[in-house]
Amino acid sequence: MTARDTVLIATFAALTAALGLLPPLPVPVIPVPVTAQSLGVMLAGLLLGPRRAALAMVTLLALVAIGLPLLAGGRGGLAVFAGPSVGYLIGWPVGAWVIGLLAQKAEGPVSLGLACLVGGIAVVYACGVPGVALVSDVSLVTAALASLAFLPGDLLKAVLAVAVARSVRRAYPRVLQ
Amino acid sequence: MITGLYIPGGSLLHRLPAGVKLTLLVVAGLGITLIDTVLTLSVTALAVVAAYPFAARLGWQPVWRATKAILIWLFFIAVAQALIADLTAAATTVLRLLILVWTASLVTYTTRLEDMMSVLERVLVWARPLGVSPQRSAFMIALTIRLIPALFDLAREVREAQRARGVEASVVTAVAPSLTRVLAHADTVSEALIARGYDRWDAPR
Repeated sequence: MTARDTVLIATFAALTAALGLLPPLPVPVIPVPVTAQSLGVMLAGLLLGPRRAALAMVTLLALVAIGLPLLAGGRGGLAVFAGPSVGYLIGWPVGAWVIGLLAQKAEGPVSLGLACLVGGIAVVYACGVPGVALVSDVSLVTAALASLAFLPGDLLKAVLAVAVARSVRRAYPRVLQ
Repeated sequence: MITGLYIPGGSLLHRLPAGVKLTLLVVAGLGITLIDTVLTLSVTALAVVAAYPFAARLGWQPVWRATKAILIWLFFIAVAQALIADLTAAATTVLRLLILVWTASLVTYTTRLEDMMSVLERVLVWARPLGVSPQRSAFMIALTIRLIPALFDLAREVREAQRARGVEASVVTAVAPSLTRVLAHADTVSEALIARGYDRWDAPR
C-alpha cells in the first residue's frame, strides 16, 4: 500500500464521517430522516476502486468502535454494533467494494448508477436486513419491509453520488489510479 | 476537533483494563442469549442501569444518551413483536436489546480512546500474516481523525469562494469542487508522508 493509498483511504473515511455530522434532511412523505452518510459509501466506491473503498469504510467503523460518535446523529461506540443497524454497518465495506468493482471500468452515468444501485443499495440492504431481523426477532420479510423506509433517500443519494463522482473524475482523473 | 464518547472518571470500571472490559462484554453478550424470562431480563437490565451511577459513577444521564440512539428501533421492535407475537415476546426482545446496548455503551463511556486504540493495535498484530500492518493501520486512524475538521475547512473555503463570485451553489456544484480540493489536499499529504520516509516504515520482516 502506497502513501497515497493510505491518505486516500483516510480521506474517504473522514469524508463519510463528515457527511454523518451534517444535520439529517427531513424529506416529506419519507418517514425517516435522510442522512448524507451513505453518500460517502457510494462516493468511495465510485472514486477509489474496490480495495481502497472497502478499507476506507473499515477504517471508519474502527473509529466508531473505539468510541468516536461519527455515525449520523452523533451515534458511535460499541453499542452501535449491538443494535439492529449492525448489518448495515457491516454492509458498508462490502457495498463499497462491490461499487468499486463495478465502477472501476465504467464511464457513463447509467453504468455508474447501476454500480450504486447494486453495491450501495442491494448489497448494503442484503447485509442490513438479516441484522434487523436477528436483533428485532422478526422475519426477514418484515425486516425488509421496514428497510423500505430508507429506499427513497438512498435512491436520491445514488443519483447525487453519480453526478458528483462524474464531475470529480473529470476534474481530477488521477483519482482512480 | 472531534471528541470521543468517553466520560472521564476514576471509578472501578474506569480503571479496569480495556482488554478485560472488552472480554467481559463479549461474555455478557453471549450470556444474555441464555436468559429468556421477562423477570430475569428485567433484573439484569436494572443491574446494568444501576452500574452507571454506582460502579462507573457516571450518573443517570448517559443511560438516556445510550437509549436515545436506538429509540426508533425500540419502538419498531415493540410494535412489530406485539403484532406478530405477544407482549411477552415484545418485552423480551426489547429488554435483551437494551441490556446489550447499555452494557456496550458502559464500556465505551468508561474507556479512553487511547486504551481502545492500543487494544485494536494488539488485535491487529495477529492480522500481520494477512498483510495488515498494525503501525500503518494506527496511523491511518489517527490521520482520519485529523482530516475530519480539515474537510469542513476545505468545504467552507470552496463555499466562500463561490459566494464571492456570486454563484449560488446547488448540492452537486457545492460538493464536487470541495471533493476535488480534498483530493488535491490528499496528494499534498501523501507527498509530505513520502518526504518523511513513509515507504520505509514497518518494513516487512
